Amino acid sequence: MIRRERRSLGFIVGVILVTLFAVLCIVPLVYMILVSFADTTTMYIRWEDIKLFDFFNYRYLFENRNFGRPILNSLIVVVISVIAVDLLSCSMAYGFAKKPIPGKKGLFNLVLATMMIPTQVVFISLYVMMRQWHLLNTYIALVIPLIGAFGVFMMRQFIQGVANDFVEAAQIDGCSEFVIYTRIVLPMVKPARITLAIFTFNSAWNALLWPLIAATKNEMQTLTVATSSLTSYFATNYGPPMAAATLSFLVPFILYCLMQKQFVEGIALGGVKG
Amino acid sequence: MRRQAAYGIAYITPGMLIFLVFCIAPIFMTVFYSFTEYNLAQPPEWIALENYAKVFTNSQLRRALFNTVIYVIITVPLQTLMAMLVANFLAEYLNNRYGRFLRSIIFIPTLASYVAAASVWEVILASKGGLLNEILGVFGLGPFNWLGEPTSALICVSLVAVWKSVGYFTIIFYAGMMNIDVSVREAALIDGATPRQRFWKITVPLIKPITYLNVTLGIIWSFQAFDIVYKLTGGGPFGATSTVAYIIYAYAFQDFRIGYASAVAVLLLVVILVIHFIQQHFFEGKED
Amino acid sequence: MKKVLALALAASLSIGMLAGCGGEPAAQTSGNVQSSGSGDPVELTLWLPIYQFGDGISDEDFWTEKLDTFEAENNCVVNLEILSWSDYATVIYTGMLSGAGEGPDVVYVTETYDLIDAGLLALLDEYITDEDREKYVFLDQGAYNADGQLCTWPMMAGNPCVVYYNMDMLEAAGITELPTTWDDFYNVCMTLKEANPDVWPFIQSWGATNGVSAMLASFWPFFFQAGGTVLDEEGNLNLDSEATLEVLNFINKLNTDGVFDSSIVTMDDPNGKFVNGEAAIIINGTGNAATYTEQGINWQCTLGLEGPSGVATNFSVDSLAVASYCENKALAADLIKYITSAACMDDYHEQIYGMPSLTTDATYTEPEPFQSMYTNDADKMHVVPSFEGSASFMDQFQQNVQGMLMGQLTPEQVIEQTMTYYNEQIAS
Repeated sequence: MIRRERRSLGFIVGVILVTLFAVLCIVPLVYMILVSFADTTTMYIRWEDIKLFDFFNYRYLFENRNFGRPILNSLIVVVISVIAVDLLSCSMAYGFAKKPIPGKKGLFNLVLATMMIPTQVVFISLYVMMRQWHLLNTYIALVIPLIGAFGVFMMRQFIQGVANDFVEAAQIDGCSEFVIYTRIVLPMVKPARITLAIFTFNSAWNALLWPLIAATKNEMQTLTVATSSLTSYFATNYGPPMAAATLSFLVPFILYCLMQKQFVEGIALGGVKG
Repeated sequence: MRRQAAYGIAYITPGMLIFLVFCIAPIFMTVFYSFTEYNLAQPPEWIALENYAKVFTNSQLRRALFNTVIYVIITVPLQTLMAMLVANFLAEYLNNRYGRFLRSIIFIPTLASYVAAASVWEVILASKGGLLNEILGVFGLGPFNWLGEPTSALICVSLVAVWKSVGYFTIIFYAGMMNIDVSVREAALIDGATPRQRFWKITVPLIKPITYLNVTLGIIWSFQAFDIVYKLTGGGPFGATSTVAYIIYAYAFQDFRIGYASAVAVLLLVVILVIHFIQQHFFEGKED
Repeated sequence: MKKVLALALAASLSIGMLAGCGGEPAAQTSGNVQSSGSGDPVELTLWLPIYQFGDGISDEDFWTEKLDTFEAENNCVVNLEILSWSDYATVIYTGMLSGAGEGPDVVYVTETYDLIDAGLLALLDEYITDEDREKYVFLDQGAYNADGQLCTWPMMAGNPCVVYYNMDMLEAAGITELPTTWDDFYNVCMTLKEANPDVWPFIQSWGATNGVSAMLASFWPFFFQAGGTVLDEEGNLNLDSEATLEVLNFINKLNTDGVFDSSIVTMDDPNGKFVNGEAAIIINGTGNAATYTEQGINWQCTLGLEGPSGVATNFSVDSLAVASYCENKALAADLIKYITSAACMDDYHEQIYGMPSLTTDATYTEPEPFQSMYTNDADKMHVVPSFEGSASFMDQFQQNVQGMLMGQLTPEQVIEQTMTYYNEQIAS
């Protein structure tokens, strides 16, 4: 029956529309990459100005604007935050999912409720705090706001799904608490942890507001902030800003190409479970 | 049992401490600051409701709140509906290699940062020499000054946001639709239900929890719109694209009027909570 | 749940106490307190903005070399940081709030009101000798506190906004004489528009990221030509004035008669349009002249138009300041004097960025026609002072002018709404 539908006019129109939709999704990004190779000082970008695989705009970023530093900063923030979020979310989620803690429900709801709070409300005071504790312009400051309730919530969903039989069997075998957690529970929720790592990666790599206010020194700028502050200098030379945007896009894109399955399944799992 | 509880407390304590200090305490601090005048240099000075009195007469803020609401009204329904329709088509009719290829393409804008997205759209929307006006020029249209007119600037900002996030919501919907039991669909087919009936009578009700999630996330994120505005329009022209989040940023971190910015932030929090409760009520009322 | 909330509240309040009520920046707690007697060199942190926009020697390399001499003479270490211009005033304010160890000891400042108001700048009077007063010609243009004490020491004084004309475009339109009065200027714009409808006769920007930079070239030159003063004799804001209205009326007239188009309110860069030969006239700082020559623009310029109160324009004075938390203020003041001395600035003006010389013994001269402007027309150049909430005021003013340019506000309403907003929301 579905086969009959496939030949219908509606189906063909649908395929065309969805294809067009997908094209619209990537055309701006293809354009971004093309312009990043453009050698132009005017606002009119001509096709003959685009010299593919001639990386002068990129060379300019590294040689004249020290773009190596913001890239390194972003990578450091990403690595620390992925590890920190994984450690904290998993252990909290395990406690909330499997352990009889007094007042557990209230505590968990308290954590969960923070998901509703607009980041600006938190950032104002967080900034005051970080300043007072002399933590501005440190990696710690950049990582802290990336630790959120979402990871705890998501991991709890998955750890709840781990059958108690496994845990009890291990307890009877005399396994220590630590062994049960690290050798039994964590491996069973590995796909979810990878998902969480991808989420954390994406939000750490793309964050703008907090790095903008928490890193006031050039040497602590992340790639997003460096990209953002670049454009104001080159209002009509679109090459360098597009090259910077391309660089910032490239890292998650390569990761996506390598781990497409985890990306898509992760977001789907997070969504469906939630 | 007591031992298990002790283990549990050990598991959650480090995380809970971080939450209390860096996530929950700042909320109360911001509420406290909203009753003070504080410029970071001198200690906060208690001025009771003075900030709130100013907030309610602030025309700039009224404008920003209005813009934010319009932004939410454009982005949330549009991205939810588009994502739902595309996901439905991919899941039900194009469940093959080509469909999966399209799905992976549609997700790509989600990977770009808002800064990268705004940077490239700035070039595309430029009034002279921008890609969009060049293309329209071929058909003898334009040129339009997309970001120079108040109405079109706000619409452009909203549409760029939709472009950036629609892939994310499509994936969530798609997964939900693939989870629908095949037998349910087959039964409907045998009953001779049209595609439209199947969409409204089967798919939509069955993915309701996902729709709820997507709308909730969409509203929360849209109410905090900052990055695109910061990069694409700087809040202009004539304040047409300034959002509440952008105003809070400007007050707090450009002017350092921490107390006043806190009052605006608390107002934003109240608005989001009220909308959330209304929405929860709305969805619950229709459930089952 | 109640217990949890109570706990959270208690915990957060105590943190609030810790963080919020600590008071002034931790001035005395720097880790690197130095006793001058010991062998360890004293450390000073110096923050300067980037000024090398061309291909020459970088700011870092230039100053590192110059500072070697100072470091050797004074047995000290100067930690140099070159900052970008994006959000410059904000970066400085937050940097100085962080206090010793993190913030700068000596810093290049643009907006001074907030810094002085917050007590972040050291007073410099005691470090000025009579000899200095003779030698440093711009000291009067530094920022003074309410008691008339010097808080900042001018380093870059100049860059007046002048009117540049693209002579090729003017000639193509048959214009042989540069306009002098506002009316002449208006007529020239109209002639240019008729001759070539595809270019902007005159370009301004009212869509910059902040009002301060928008007003610099788009408002202040006209304002001083109309005889305006930013602050009255008692130091109160004096922008609710006839001069402001005249400027707005003039800009409004240019706009309604089609000199601008709606890109004037977007973040489009007007300078790029002039560089690309897409605009015939621009008002901009003298520092841009080199770029125009480099890009092959056949330009001429005049200091300013002749407004209702004669020829005038604005120029900027950016200065160096010593942080109030600096532990070696005398040394810091010496560093400022060294930086602004002819030994540094002559080379700096040659190699990094041209500006009028600061000292009587300097040899650098600005290229013509600018040098003669400084010698002959210095009295026609005015400084826009920093006042309470000036940045927010200018943001709001810019926004309302955008409204006027879009036909939604009259010039009178722009002034009225800006002043209302300023008095109700910004001024204390």
